Amino acid sequence: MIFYASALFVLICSFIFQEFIPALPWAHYSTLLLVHTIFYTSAVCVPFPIMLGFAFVAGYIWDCRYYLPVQTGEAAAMTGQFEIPFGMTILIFGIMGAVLQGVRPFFGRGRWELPIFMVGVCTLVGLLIQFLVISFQRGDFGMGSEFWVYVFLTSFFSLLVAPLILFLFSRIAGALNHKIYVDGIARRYNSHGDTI
Amino acid sequence: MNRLNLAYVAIFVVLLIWIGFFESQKVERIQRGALAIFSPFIKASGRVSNTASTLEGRQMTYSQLEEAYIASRRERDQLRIEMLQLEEVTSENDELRKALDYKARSPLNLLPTRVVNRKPLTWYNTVVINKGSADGVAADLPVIAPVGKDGAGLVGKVTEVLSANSSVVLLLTDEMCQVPAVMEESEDQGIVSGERTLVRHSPTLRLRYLAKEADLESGDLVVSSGVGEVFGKNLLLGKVREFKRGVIDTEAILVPVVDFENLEDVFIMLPNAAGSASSSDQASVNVSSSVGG
Repeated sequence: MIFYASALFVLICSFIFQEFIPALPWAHYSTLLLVHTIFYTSAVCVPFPIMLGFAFVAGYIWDCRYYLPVQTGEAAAMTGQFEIPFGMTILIFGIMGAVLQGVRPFFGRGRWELPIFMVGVCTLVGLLIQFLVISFQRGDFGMGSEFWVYVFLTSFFSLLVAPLILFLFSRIAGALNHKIYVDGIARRYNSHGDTI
Repeated sequence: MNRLNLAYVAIFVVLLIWIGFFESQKVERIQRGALAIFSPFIKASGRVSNTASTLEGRQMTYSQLEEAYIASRRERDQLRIEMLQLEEVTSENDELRKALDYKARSPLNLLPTRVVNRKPLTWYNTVVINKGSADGVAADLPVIAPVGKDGAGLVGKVTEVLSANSSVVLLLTDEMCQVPAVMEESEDQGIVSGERTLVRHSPTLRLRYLAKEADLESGDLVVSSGVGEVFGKNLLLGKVREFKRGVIDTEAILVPVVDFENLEDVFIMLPNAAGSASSSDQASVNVSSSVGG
C-alpha cells in the first residue's frame, strides 16, 4: 500500500515538473509529456484497480490544468459543446492503462523492453486519439508532416524517459520491500479449469 | 478479467460518465480551483523560461534596469496605440460632422499585459498572460500588439480566464481563432485562421472563402473586417505570401504581421463604456498608412 501511495505521490508531483519542461520550437514544439510517461510506467507496476484509480486522478488533474474550452462553430457555441470533452484524458489513460496491464508480467519478470516500448506506443496512440477527435469535430483529417514530427518525437521522448521512471519505481518497490505483482489482468483459473 | 475487476471498470465508467455531464460553469469552477494551485508553478516556469532566453540571447543586466526597461517599453507601446486612437477619433469626428450624423464613440480601452508563459498546449496555440478577472478580463476579448511604427496587429483572443491575474490567449495562428477579414486594397472579404494545430514555428495564416475572382497579389495587406461579435475593425492580420484560385473560391497564405515567436507585451481590448469590445460602432484603429512590419 505504501508503494501505491508513493507511486501516486510521484504521479502528482509530475504535474509540477511538467510545468518546467520546455517545448522545442525547432521540432514543432514537441515536448516530454512527463505526466503521461509516469502514468503509463506506473500502469505496469500496479494492479488493475489501482491503475484505474491512477488513471482517474491523473486524467482529472490533467484536464483541470490543460483543458481548454474551445468550441467548433455556432451550433457548438449554442449547445455549450467543446472540441475535446472534459474528462477525455481520464478515458484515454484508462484505456491505455488497461493495454499496459497486458505487459505487466514482463516487467514483473525483469523484462523491460516491451513495457518501455509500449509506453511510447501508448503515448503515441493517446495523442492520435485526441487529434482524431479534434479532426472529426473540425470536419477534415489534415495530418501534415509537422503533425507526425510532433507526435513521434513526443512519443520518443516518453520512450527515452520510461526506463528511468521504471527504474525509479523498481527502486521504490525495493526500498519498501514491495513485490510488483505479475498477474496483470490475465484470466485466472482454478484447479478445475473454471474461470475465477 | 475477474468479476472484481469488472466491477472496478463499471465504477470507473460511471464516474467518467458523471464527469462527462458536468456543465461548462461547473468545469470552469473546478478549473479555477485547480489553476489557483498551479498558478505559482505556471508563473515560475515562465520566469525560468524568460531567464533562460535572456541568458541565451544577450548578457545579463541588472534586474532593476531590466524592469525599468520593460516598463518604459510597455509605456511606449501603449502611447503608440493611444496616438492611433486619437488620430482615428479626429478623422472620424471630421467625417461624422460632415455627414451631420454624429454618433458618439468610445475610445479603445486598452489593458497592457505581459506574456508570462508561452508554452503551447498540446493541440492549441496559446500563451498565458498576467491579467485576469481582477482587471475585468473576460473570454473572447481581442488581444493586440503594436506593429511597426503606428500599427496594431491582432494577436488573438482571450479564451479562458484562469484566475484573478492570469488568462489564456488563443493565438491567431491557431486554426480555431477565425477572424473575419478584408483585403485592404480590394476590400474582398474572407476568413483568416491559423494552420491546423502544429505549424507553430514561423507560422503562417490561411485566408479562405475569398471570391473566385478576388483581386489580390503578393504583399497585399489583410486586416480584420469587424464583421462578427469578437474582433474590431482594421486590426492588422498579415500580408499575402501566395494564393491559389480554386473552382469556387480563392485561398491565400499570409505571413502574420505580429511576431508570434517573440511576444512579450500585448494589450487586451477591454469593453468600452458604450458596450462590448466588439460592437459595430467600436473604435477602429486606423492603419491605412501603417504596416511597417
